[in-house]
Amino acid sequence: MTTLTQEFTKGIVQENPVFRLILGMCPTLAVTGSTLNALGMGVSVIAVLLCSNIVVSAVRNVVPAKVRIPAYIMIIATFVTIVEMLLSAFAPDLFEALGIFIPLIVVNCIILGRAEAFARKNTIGRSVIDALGIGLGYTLSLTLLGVIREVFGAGSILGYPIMGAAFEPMGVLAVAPGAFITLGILLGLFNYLFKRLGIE
Amino acid sequence: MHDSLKMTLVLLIIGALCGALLAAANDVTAPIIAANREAEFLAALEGFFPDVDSFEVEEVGREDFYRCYDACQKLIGIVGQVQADGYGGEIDYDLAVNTAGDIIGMRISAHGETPGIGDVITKPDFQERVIGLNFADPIEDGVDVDAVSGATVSTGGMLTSIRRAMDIIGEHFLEGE
Repeated sequence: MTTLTQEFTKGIVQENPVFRLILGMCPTLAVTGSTLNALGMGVSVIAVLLCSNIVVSAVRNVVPAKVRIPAYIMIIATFVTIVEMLLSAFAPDLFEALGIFIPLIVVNCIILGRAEAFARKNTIGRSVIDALGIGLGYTLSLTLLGVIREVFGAGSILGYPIMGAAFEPMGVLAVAPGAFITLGILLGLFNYLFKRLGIE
Repeated sequence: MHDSLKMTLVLLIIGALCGALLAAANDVTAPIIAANREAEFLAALEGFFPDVDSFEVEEVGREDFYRCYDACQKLIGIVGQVQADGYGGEIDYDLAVNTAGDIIGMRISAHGETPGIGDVITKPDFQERVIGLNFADPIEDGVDVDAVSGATVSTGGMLTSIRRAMDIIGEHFLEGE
């Protein structure tokens, strides 16, 4: 039996959704053009993941195995739609920037993956810890990508210029190919690091 | 039999609960979202016509047109809240026209066009092709203004809609003023 601390940290290190599980790549590539968008996406995913893990875990003994996937999708879609409404009402600028990727959280494989692989077999308490760990791992990874792409692609961080006037932004990092390049380099780097440290 | 009944029932209950939750969330957020949209539109209106002091709305077809007046109650222009058929459904936008019939500004308020392709309609590069045209101009794709290659459905739909909106503004609001 893993301890709760291990359950939490596994989402950030050993089972980091972006760098270890390679899940949820579509928003990872699409919204990390700036730090703020990456953070906003990460927090939205934490909110949805937390709610869906709690509910999926709570109904785990009620939902028949044959119809569990449609049931999970319904639960996840409900929370995503609520997050979408809340963002549209209270953070319209962020909602505008994240656009289509908010409704697409429904099909983010991290959420369904955690429901299927974890929440349906574990207690509510453990599912909460799991959601927070994985969600935070996802947010940290997105933010790392966002910071790198914004600093080198636009010379700013959270919109504030930091690189000085002489800095020539590498425009390619701000657009889609830059997302692939940054992600590829980071993946290679983390794989190397994990090998060296002996973490599997 | 018992199994399939249970499955149906469980899904039915989950569906009903989800529906109720969504209805409640919508009740709370819908007025705030509507107020946000309204505030954005009023800010855009002042962006188009800085001298605007008052306006009145008139509905033509299903779309709203705003007559904008300055402090001396003189008509300074028309803003139409109009719709175009895009690639990803309807595009809602505001079209601002001065009393001479020139397009002086536009603002896309809601759209479902493909990010990176059809969303050029929100960019200055496309909007500048349209701004400055007069309602006496043809405003026709390939004649006096071009659609954007790769995004012809989005930009062509916008041009068709702008022509139609200009006809309405010209006939209903500007003639005889």
